[in-house]
Amino acid sequence: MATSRSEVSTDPSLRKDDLSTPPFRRVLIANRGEIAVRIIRACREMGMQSVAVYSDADATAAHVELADLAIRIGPAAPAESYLRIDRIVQAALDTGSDAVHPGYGFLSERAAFARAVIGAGLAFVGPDPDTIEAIGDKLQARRLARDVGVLAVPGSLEPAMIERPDQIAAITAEAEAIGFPLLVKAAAGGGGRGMRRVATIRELVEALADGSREAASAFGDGAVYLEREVRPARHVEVQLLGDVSGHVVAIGERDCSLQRRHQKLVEEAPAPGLTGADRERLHELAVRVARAAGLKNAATAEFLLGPDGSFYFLEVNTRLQVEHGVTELVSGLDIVREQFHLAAGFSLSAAAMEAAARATDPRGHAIEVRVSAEDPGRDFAPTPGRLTGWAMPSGPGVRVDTALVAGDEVPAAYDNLMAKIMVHAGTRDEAIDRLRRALDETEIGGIQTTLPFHRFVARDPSFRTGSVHTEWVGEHWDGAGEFKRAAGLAMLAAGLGVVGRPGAAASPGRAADSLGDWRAAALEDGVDRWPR
Amino acid sequence: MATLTAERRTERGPGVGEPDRAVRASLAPASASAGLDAVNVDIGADPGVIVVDGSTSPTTFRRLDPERSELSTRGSIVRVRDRASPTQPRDSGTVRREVLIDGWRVVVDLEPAARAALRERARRGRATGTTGGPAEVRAMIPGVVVAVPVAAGDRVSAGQKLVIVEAMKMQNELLAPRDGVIDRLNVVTGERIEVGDVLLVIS
Repeated sequence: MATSRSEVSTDPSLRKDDLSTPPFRRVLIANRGEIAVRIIRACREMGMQSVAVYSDADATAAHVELADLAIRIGPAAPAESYLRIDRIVQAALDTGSDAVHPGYGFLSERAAFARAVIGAGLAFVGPDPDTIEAIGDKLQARRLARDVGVLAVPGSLEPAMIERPDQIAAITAEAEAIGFPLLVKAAAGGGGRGMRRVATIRELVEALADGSREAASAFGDGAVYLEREVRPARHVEVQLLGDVSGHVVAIGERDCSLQRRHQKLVEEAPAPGLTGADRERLHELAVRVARAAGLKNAATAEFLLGPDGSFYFLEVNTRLQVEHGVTELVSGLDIVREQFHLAAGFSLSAAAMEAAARATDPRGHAIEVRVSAEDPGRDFAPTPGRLTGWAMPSGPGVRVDTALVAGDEVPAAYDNLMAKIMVHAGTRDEAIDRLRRALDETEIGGIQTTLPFHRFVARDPSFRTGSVHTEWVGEHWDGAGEFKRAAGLAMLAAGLGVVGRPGAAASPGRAADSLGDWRAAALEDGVDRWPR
Repeated sequence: MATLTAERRTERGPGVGEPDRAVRASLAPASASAGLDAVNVDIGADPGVIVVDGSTSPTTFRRLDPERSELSTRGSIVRVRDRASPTQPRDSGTVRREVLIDGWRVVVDLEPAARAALRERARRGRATGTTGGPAEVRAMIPGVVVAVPVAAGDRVSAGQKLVIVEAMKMQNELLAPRDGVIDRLNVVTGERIEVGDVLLVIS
């Protein structure tokens, strides 16, 4: 079935910035969970129809309920559903969609997906496939940065080869020039996969081999390279937007230093402790790289802020990020809305240009905590299961992005992000106060989540002073100790709840369970009873 | 005066999809359980004050509704939600509660302290049996010996019946923890035994 779609002219002067007509008629969201809900909400606000795709595990999920149409694309396993380019493109065609938004993760940075969508005559809500391919490869991005005079983290610019002795000699020499300890990193992807820390020259070749194998398994590409370890460092990133006329702007930066095993836990905007001049410099570096890459739509340039005060370019993520919300809060710009606008061929909106003009002077401060199905008392081990209680905060300056309700199952098959709790206030201090208040209102039953870790962050003095860096979590969070303390109180409370006061009547809710009888018997005669 | 003993035994959870680790809190009237890593709480005549571990730091516990309460101890006030866990342990003498406190979810198993002590001694008894040396076989329940089908010097094999004890109108068989020779037999038919008594030794 041929889809009808208005002709998109690439000459911005011919298009009026007409915000009253939706840029697309129907949008397919190639994702799930909270980000799918986020994108569907933007569609609803803009008067566009939304199409959800779902696996068997998500048949009753919120994004399916919210969308105007929903199509099943396969069984739970991502490889059979959310990663199936063919099924998703077909679903878009079958539903008469004229655009596809990839969200984050899954296929969002696969150039092949973008090409398939465009090849089917649909708009892809994201950067061009060529850009995705070019700067998705971290080595190519580093070379590009070098070409435009942007300092990258010192390291190699070509994939490390270890097949022949002369290659090994070459990479060893390069490693010595970079200095130890250093990192082996995957060129094709992130999240810490394919990464190895190398403390001495002796460990180098094995680390390269191991890293390459892991990268090949995770990304289908075993290319690895070397980078100097910058430590302690702060992770700061810049939100970028680009339009079809080649105009690229930065609308703000974020600090995502609180991480564990390269998974972000807490993000904030703006990055604390930067001067206006720092900000300007950082944004300019990011825009320079993005412009050289011909960036269109939304992307984020990541940097490390070293102990020497230098910004070192890391990579560009050519997609909408999980933590985009904190930038929306301090810039006032709806980034997803802007993405649709840009994908339809319009130039950067007036709102986007305003946000860019104020980028170094943001409105207040925003902090996000990622509530995930992980146990911070057991080294953040995953905790899939069913939610029996789910009370999210609200009130002034609180924004919660989630797709879950009480009774939902958190499946093991997908990433375990459950909710993003964001706060926005006039100053960083007030934002932290608000975060603490919001987390006090938050209650989750049925599975363990990262909530106690976030409550700790909101109360921690070193977080309050802005002394954040990428080793912070390991240095400050004693999960086992914190759990033990809480468990002690929990036992006390549970026991006291049972014993109550001598002579106190059993509370109404307890009549049904065996607790009352057992308790009374134990108290009366003090004699141990065999279980019946 | 009721004494609450909470036993701090936390186990590492094995991983995805498996039951939560549970911490064991025992409940007992007025008698302390020796030898356990315990928190002893006395709810005294003054209903608003609870003494923890014999220390002077007062703890107050205020129930707000059937599920929620407020616990204040050592200067901090904590809100607690405590309710029956949807899955209860198999043995009906233990009650499982799910407690939500400070963002943590703690599954607490409550059982009478005397029973917890029993379990602890039984566990230690089993643990000794797995070492190479002579195994002391201890009584795990109190009762009366009704039969002793073995004699000192007998060679026995793992699982063989050694002593039959009657308790609570039921007959309970004590089985050999491993192969060996009965070194010493301490009981005769008709004898009354208590938990922890050494009944015989296998070398």
